[in-house]
Amino acid sequence: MTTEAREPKVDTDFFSIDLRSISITGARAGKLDPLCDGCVMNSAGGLTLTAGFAMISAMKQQLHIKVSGGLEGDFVVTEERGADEFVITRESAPSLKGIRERAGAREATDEEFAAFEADHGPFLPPDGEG
Amino acid sequence: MAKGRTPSPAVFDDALFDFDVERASDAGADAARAARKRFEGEGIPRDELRLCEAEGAEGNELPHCLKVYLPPPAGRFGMVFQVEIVAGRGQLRYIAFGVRHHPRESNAESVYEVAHRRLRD
Repeated sequence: MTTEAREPKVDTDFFSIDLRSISITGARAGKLDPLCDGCVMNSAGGLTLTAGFAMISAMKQQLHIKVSGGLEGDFVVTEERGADEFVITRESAPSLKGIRERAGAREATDEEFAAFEADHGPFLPPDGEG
Repeated sequence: MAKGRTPSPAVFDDALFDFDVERASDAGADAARAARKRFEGEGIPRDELRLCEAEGAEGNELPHCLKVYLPPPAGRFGMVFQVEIVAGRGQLRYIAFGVRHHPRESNAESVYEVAHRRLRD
């Protein structure tokens, strides 16, 4: 958390804001909860950060923000509620489902995975990392 | 080439790969680009491919997924692939690139968490 970020300040393309006034909503709001220290659920079910700061830059008419602190990652502003409150959602990568549909591909079955390893493996065993 | 010795064919979606590279550090972006160039040209050698945990300790589920560490053999970055079938043949689909482990105090997602999320979106 930075004390300098409590008042929005404009510095050419960037300004920093205090995340205490940003609500996190959207499909993954619940999944963000365990990642967030210093955050509370508000009465509407959204997630309000109470610590951390964000850097905001104007890009292609949509505000992209890089969040650090209780949450980390790249987000986009989907709604501005006055000067001090923003609704943000995590910036999403291209859909894997869509990529596969365009490629005419599908996930392998267990048998197909075994056949793939027979052709190209054996692979190194899992190491417990992920 | 003998059965079981053929490098695995790998495919990358430009937009998905670029999404990750644009958010990586310079070192990470360099490692990712170099790996992609090598993998698309030669396939991925089996001695670099490690099975992911189908159900990881942190709750990540990565079925039929394989990973490489970058730079090899044990760099701080990871790239996750999943076996998919197209026209009756298996290939490795690029799923995610990123940091394997963030500092304990960080709330940033590991490459495994990103891959888990993408497989379910």
